[in-house]
Amino acid sequence: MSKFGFKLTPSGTINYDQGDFRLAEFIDQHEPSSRLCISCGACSATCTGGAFAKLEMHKIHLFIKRGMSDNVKTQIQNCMYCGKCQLVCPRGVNNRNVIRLILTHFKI
Amino acid sequence: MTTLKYQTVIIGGGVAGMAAATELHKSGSKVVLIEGNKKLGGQVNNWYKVFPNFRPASEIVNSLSTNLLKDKIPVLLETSITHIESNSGNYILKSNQGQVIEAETVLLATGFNTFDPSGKEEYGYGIYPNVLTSVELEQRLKTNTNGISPKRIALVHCVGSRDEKVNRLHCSKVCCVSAVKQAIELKEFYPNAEIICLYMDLRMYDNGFEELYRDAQLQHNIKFIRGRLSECALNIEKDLVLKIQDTLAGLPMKLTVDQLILMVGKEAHQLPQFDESIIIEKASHGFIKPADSHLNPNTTSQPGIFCCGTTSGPKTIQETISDARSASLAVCDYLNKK
Amino acid sequence: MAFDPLVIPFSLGLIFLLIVVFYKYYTWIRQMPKPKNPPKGLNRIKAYFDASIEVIMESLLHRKIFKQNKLLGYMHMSIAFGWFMLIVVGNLEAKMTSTNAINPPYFPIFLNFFAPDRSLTPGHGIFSFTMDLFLAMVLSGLLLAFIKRSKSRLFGMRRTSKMRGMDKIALYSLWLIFPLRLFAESFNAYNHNSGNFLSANCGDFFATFLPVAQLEYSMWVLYSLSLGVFFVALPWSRYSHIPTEVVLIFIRHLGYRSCVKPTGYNMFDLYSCSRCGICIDQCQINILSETNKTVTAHYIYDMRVGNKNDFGLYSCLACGRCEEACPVGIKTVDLRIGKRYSETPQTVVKYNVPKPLKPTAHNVGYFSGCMGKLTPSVIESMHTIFRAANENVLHIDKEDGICCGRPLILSGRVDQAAQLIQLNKDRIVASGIKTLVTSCPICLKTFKEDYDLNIEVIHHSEYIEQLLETRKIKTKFTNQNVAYHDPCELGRGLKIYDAPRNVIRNVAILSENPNKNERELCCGGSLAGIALSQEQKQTLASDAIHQIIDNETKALITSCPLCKKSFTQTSVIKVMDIAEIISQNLILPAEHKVKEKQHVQEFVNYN
Repeated sequence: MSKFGFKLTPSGTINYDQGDFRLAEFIDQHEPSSRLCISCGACSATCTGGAFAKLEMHKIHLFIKRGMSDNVKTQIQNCMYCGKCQLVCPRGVNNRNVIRLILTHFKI
Repeated sequence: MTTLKYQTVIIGGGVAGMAAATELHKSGSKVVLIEGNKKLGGQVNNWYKVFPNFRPASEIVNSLSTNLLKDKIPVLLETSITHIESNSGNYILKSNQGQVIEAETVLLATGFNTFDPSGKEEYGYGIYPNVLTSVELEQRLKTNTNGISPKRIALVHCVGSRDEKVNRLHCSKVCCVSAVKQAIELKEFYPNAEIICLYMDLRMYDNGFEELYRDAQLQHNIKFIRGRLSECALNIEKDLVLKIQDTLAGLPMKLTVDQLILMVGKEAHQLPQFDESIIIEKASHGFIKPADSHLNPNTTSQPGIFCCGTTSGPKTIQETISDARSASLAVCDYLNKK
Repeated sequence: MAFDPLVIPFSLGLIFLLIVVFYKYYTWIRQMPKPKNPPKGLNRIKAYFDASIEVIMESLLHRKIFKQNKLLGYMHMSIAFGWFMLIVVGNLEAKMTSTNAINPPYFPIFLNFFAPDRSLTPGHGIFSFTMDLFLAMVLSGLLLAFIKRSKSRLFGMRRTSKMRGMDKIALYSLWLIFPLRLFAESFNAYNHNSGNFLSANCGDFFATFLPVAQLEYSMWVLYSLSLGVFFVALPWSRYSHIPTEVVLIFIRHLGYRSCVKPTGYNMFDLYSCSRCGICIDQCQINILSETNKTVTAHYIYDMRVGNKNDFGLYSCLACGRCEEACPVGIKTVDLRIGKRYSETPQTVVKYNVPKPLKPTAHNVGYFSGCMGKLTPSVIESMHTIFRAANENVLHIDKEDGICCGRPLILSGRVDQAAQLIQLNKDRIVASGIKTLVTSCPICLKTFKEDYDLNIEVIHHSEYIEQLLETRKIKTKFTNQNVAYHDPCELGRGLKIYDAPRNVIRNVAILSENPNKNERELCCGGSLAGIALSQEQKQTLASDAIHQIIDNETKALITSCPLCKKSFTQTSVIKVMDIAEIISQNLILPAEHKVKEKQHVQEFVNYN
């Protein structure tokens, strides 16, 4: 399809009505601080792992909350757990625990 | 020692204190204004021009202090109140100059301090000479001493505001529009430089603010990037390298700038020491908590002690002066009922 | 051969215990990888000898607990050593009494039952006295243990461990064993007109109001039963530490070490815990909750019985205070990380490796660490010091800094960490430096323990100490009073306590806090405490600060960028890194002053 210059991808829009919110609920329950994220992006900018692979913490929060949790599966494994994202977070989101919970949820 | 007697003591000779003093004097109250510094004006003295119309800040201070002079309202400069105790419905205030003042009411106009960003180390304040606070920039603008031809300057919003890491969760209200104002001033100073605002949210809530923002974009070509600065380092040329996330483009961004301005937030100024019997309730952000933020915004939890201006939270100059005037009504009301 | 049905419960219990214990030890030993540096030849004999001495000093006499609190030490010693001596002396006496070459194991235990009249046994008087003496000793220990349940403060413990599950059965049977033995022995003494100061007198006393002749046999039965029940409960209770600790001491002396990837060694560690509770007061999580589920004594219980305790697992700071206090020397941090490892499926993702460093002529490399990026004043201070010492230093992670891997290890993702370790190692080796200086104790620990770098790896406090000793830099003394905080990874982790203090004493008056060195508190920001909220971390930080500083303290000095960050968030006084206080108090020769001035000037004028 791509040779026609466009693709029909389900990820082109956010289908909120048919989102998969199981991960969102799981994280919401175990790490409520994730609700506080305002997508300021400080975490993604400072990310040590993000310099060498794709990893944008604030987008991970967004994807999960939009019911698009499949999008975070591969990204999340790039985390180096250094904790800088948490030190710069103005909202006190416990990002490392969120990552741990995602890994637990997906059993990866 | 003789005890000076007044109906109302106003602590703090900033714009709030001055405005309240004039109003209270007009309503016939015997009032004294106490200021810790050598001159009146408080924090507004540190500003060069004010938003949204670039009026010189000194104009406002001068206008208010001229009124005081005209009305011959007593002012004690270089005086700070060290202790306040209550005495059968009145208050006894002691100053560092040794004066003892008895008053029926006390109006707190102690105002705010600006946040000291040296604790926010990753922004490089106090480490790299080219990182300065918005207050320091005002001084440099005023005295025309801001170095020569920077190519790019970034202004960081929300430094010491809305930041759990420095225990300041509140919004300081004026930094957003201050940043836009300073960006325009910088652009006028350095027409060839690129001026960038790094913001989390732009809170252009009051009259003229949104217009100023529009102006900044259209007339002055100020750039706005939505992302919070996370770290600041030096490159070999000693330029500042900023790491931010352009959250709207969805990509991490490296940005080299010559100068970094930190829009420091407001935090509560220390209050005088009160006797144990006097209880002044504070809100979670450290400012005084009014008895009723809608209906009695100037009444504190202690009868006879009032607050005005930024003593009860961040405000613009305009809001501060209105609040001071409303406080003088509350004080008069209290004195009349007494 | 002497036999009576009353020995059956004891014997069955003992057989059961031996089978279970040997089966467990066999499987654990098979799961242990060969030690890296096992003692060889004479050293091996010495290792066995040293281990035996340690078993006597620690497992029997409980020297380390004595050091902590005399009463607590006596309590543990009296039960362990007293019981051990009862077995030894009892066996000797049985040997002397019986004409058989081999006695069944129950014979010495029930010696008075089988051979009540031993007046002809050589040394009878001494035997009877020592047996009574050690029984009295054990009983005094039991009495103390009973008191400790409710009055733990007498024993120097604010909190003590709670009994759970199988522990209760084992505990109650243990409490019964010796009183029942006392009854059986004293009734026996009265009935046969034997015994010594304890059994004879007790026998006379009980006989005044009890039909001791009729009761003696049932007491022996109950004694045998309590022993049997205790033996059956032992492998599933805290008392499994009795045999396991002995084996642990031996394998440790033979060069086996614990590992963050769980091995059989970790199992020995796990079952060597007596849950004595000494670690409980050490755990800083106590200030966060009334019922501390994180503290090792409780967590080990959950680990043994397989209870899910996610908060306990992931809130642990891995500060090592419990490990330092543990009288058994259990590697509590490795146990917890091992558990995290086994709970985390290990996946390895590939990173886009930054371009390798080119070989340089620099002798010294500087690694500021991830956290260093958020504490630029540490980096700038180090550069000032490097310039002052005329050291040409390669800043390895100025750009493209890769994490050292320790945070991933602490989170349990050990295999992923191995990749980072390899990437970093390649960079460091390729740069050709001879000395690696790092500002971050977290990096330092993993550089030293997991990297196998054949170069000198030192912390910046040690490096500054060297510069001061060789007079490469000079400092001026200020009269300000400062306190020093030992970062967990630098202090307990690597035992570097003196270098930072020596450095600080060059520039300021150092006042020590009661929790210094191995008892130092964690700043709360530890990367291991994954499940702790921001608020909880700040509570820990502010509690630690208040214990470290006093009213005179002008600045809190630390030597870890992460500790600095955690403390700055709540501190009422200035928090500084050791590099900062040194760079601020450098005495620079005239030519350096010019250089420093230029350095500053280059900032202000935009080129």
